[in-house]
Amino acid sequence: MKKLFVFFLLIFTSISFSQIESFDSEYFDEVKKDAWGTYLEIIDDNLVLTEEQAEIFLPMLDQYIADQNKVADMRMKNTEEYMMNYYDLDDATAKDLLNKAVEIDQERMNIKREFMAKMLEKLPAPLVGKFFQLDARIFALIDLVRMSSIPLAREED
Amino acid sequence: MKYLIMFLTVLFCGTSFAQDDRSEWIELLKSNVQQESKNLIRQNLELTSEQAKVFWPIYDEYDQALAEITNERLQNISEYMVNYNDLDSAKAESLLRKALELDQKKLDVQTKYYERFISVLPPAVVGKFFQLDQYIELLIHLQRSENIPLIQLDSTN
Repeated sequence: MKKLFVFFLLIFTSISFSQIESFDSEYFDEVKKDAWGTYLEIIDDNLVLTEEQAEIFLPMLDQYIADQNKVADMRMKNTEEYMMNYYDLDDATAKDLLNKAVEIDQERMNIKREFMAKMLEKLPAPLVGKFFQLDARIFALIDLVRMSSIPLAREED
Repeated sequence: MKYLIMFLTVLFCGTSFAQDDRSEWIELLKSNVQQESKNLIRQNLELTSEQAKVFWPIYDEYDQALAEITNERLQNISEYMVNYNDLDSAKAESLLRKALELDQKKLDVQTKYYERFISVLPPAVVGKFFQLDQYIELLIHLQRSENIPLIQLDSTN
C-alpha cells in the first residue's frame, strides 16, 4: 500500500492547487488509466486466489472496474465543469454541481453493494472482505489525491 | 490545505497503538480529532458572522451524528481485531455487511446535512465545507486503515 501512496503522491504533487486555466482532461484521463493499472496491480499482489476462485473473481472484478469507471467519468465531468466555472461560479451552477457530487457518491456505494452481494454468493467471505479492504484503501488514496488537485470553492466577489 | 495535511500527519504519527489503556486513548484521540477538525474548518471556511450563526449549530449536530457512526465503526473494527486470528466465514461476512451498512449510514447523514446546509447557506460555502470535511475524513480513514491489518487468508478460504 505504501507503494501506491508514493505513486499517487508523485503524480499529484506535480499538479498545483491552482492549475485552473490549464485544466487538462486528457492529462486526467491518463492519470485515471494509470490509477486503474495500479489498482489492479495492488489487488493482484495482495489477493492470492486459487485457480477456481480466480475463474469466478476476475470476470466480476472486470465488471466492477468497468462500472466504477463510469462513476469516475461522471466525477471527472463534474470536476471539469467546476474548474471551468471556478472564477464565476453562480449559486445555481454550484448547487447543481453539489447535487451531482452527492448522486455520484451514492452511485459508487450502490455499485459496491451490488458487487459485494454477488461476490459473497460465490466466494468465501474472508476473501471478499480482503478485496473490499484493499478497494476502500485504494479509493481513499485516489480521492485524497484527486481532492488535492482541486482548489477549494470560493465565494463570488 | 497543506497545513491541514501536515497537522493530521503529525497528530497521527505522534500516536501509537501500544498504549495500555486503549479505550481511554481512543476517546481522547476522538475528542482531539473532533476539536481539531472543527478548528481547521473554522480557519479555512472564512464565514461572515451571519453565516457562522447559521452554520455552527448545524455543524455541531452533523458532527455528533457522524461521531455516533464512528463509535459503531470502532466497535466493528474492535470485533474484527478480536477475531483476527480465527476469522471464520460467517463472522467475516457479518463484519463486512456491517461495514457497508456504516458506509451507507455515513452517506445518508452527509446527504441529510448537505440538504440542511444548502437550504440556509450559499452553495459555494456549503461546497467548500464539504471539500474540507471530506479531505479531513479521508486523512483520518487512511491513517486508521494503516493500523488495521488486512484479512489473513488460509487454504480454507
